[in-house]
Amino acid sequence: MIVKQAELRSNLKKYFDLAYDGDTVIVPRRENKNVIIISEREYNDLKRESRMMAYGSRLTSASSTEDPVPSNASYTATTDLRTDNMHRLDVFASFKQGWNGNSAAPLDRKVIEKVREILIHQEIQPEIFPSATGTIEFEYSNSRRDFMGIEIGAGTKAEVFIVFYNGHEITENIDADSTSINERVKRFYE
Amino acid sequence: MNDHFEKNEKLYRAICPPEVAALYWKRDGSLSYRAFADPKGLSVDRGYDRSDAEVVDSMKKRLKGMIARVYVRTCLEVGATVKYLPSAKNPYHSEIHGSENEKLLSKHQCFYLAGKTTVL
Repeated sequence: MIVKQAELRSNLKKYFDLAYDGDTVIVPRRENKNVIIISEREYNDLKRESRMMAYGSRLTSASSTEDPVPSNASYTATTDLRTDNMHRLDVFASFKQGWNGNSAAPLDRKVIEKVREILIHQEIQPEIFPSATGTIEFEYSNSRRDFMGIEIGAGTKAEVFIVFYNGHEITENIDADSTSINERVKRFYE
Repeated sequence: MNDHFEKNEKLYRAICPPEVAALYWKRDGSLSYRAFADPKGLSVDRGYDRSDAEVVDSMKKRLKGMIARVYVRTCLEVGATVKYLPSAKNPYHSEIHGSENEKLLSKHQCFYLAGKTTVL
């Protein structure tokens, strides 16, 4: 809706409430210096979308060979999560000392190849993230809004961290192999 | 500036370089909690008496990536410790630790902080 400044000034609460409830309040000003009032929720959604466009789908090339993420570390996200994860692992493998901006060591090649082998056999693909602890995290969320992370490192066990929608948390260890992880993931989605 | 932090003080974490910052975004637009796991202590800049814009300007001169903001009180709510550790190059440098004796934040702490973080 379009609201003049004088009207807005006289009924500030009314228009703030409308914006809070989801309306977009446009306030025209001279020389096209218009402003728009929206709720914080809507603003955050817009920021999130903007971030996704800026960061989420494309990794750009680094500018210097001294950079902790070298210039060949680029990939484009695809709709196929398995393919995407394989590309992400290639990027993880290119990390050099200090890749997180705070002296993290490069990820162990053996961990990366172990994760690659596990991912090939995963029926439900996770989103994967590197950790400065030298491990790789698989992350899942289900329709109940529970969260599950599975942390895989050099050891034979993987640590499972679950946060249920009600805030309750559990941590457990499972074998760090594709069969055990597949089974645990299936249970999470049941 | 001393080692006392008000609960309302803001802390700023640069997630960088940009290529790595991108890796921490989930498909739903939220941030992975692993971005907060650092066994060497989670380096942050304290806001002290500066505005968000001033801090971001200052950090962007030194770092490329994205700047995430979290309140001291949020850290305290999960038992984390905030330490003021100024360096010659950065008088605002501080670190968030899991406890007095452990630098690495627990998964519970990382998850909580990630959920309460605002990206600027």
